[in-house]
Amino acid sequence: MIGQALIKSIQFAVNEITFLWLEKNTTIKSNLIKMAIAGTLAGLLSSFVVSPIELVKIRMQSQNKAVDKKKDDDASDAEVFNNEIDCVRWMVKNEGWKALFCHGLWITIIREIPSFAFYFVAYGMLAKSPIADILGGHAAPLLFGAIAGWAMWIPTYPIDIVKTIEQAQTSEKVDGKKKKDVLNSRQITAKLYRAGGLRGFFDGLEPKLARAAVKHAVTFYVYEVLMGFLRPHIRN
Amino acid sequence: MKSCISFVGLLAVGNCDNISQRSPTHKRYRQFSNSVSISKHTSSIIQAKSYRRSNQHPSIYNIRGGDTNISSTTSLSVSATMASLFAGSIGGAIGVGISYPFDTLSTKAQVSTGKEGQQLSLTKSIGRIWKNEGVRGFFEGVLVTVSRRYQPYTLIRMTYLFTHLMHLFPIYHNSYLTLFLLYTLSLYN
Repeated sequence: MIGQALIKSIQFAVNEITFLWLEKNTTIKSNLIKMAIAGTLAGLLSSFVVSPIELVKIRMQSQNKAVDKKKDDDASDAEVFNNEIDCVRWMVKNEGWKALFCHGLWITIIREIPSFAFYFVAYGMLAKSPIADILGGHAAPLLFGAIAGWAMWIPTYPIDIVKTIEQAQTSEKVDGKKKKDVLNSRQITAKLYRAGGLRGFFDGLEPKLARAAVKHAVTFYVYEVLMGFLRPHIRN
Repeated sequence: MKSCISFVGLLAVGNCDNISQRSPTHKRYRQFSNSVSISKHTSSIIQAKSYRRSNQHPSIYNIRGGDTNISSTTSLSVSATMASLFAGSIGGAIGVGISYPFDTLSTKAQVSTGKEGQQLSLTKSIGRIWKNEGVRGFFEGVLVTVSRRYQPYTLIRMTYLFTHLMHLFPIYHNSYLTLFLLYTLSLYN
């Protein structure tokens, strides 16, 4: 918990300091580029928090609590967890602390950095465009958020699929030896390409895009409702 | 820029606002450090200022800038960062919670592609989750995902603001805000 708080404050500080440094010491005029650079650094740092959280999330999601295990062959050797704590405990016991924090860390960093940049640039560009005035205050944030989410997901999705596959495999150890071969990102990429070509890298993209749209619609709606209450009290 | 990390997108709203409108950086720092303060003077001047400011920037960020009149009867003032942090964390949690089943479907598809090298159809996937686990199956791991939004740093600030809000504004007692707090708490249990 303390570690997370620390990382969080480091993130805030780094993001702010980067932005200020760029503002003072460089001749870059565009706020978009500054935001992209600051966002990139923030993405790099947040990866260290995001990676273990996503690892637990993926293990929870990919488990298969099949009632009839014989029929579902991919569930036969997989672990089943009751909740997140159970999952973390199992991982620490069977894979070690190092795996919890480092399993899939690099690929997370590779994914986080461009996604932050894509998101900010897309949103900033849309918000400055004349479309914003046409749509008006209520529709614009909803639509722009969803579009920015898509702009973030479509280019980084191939990285995300490799990351998910990498983190879903367990590196369980029995008597100090690894029980199964754990593929690294490059091997997974090669395997995916052999199996399905480029198309294979975009499996499951549709629900991800639907998720981005729903998430942004709900988030912005709630955000706007709350800000409507708070805005009169905002200090200058 | 400080608040953009965990609530990636929506705080971009507040941040664009910050960057374009207030360049003196020390001012932003000061606002950040004492983000909630309760002034004893009823701040009609501030209100007038904010009204003018919202007229100067009729962008998508200042939708309801000047049309509400609550601040004349109350004395709370919040920094822009704090407000968007607060609204963003609650909005983000609800957004993540509601959209989570899609994420589960996506992960299932990704994992099955990795294992079998072939695509798992959406309908088949939905049917399988429903059959095996019911509704809960769609929400496996939602807690840890939402908790990303509630790391201690954010939580402390949010709680602080919220206690002030609840004391000061009876208007909020039976409104969305209460509902959101209950929703958030229920996520923790």
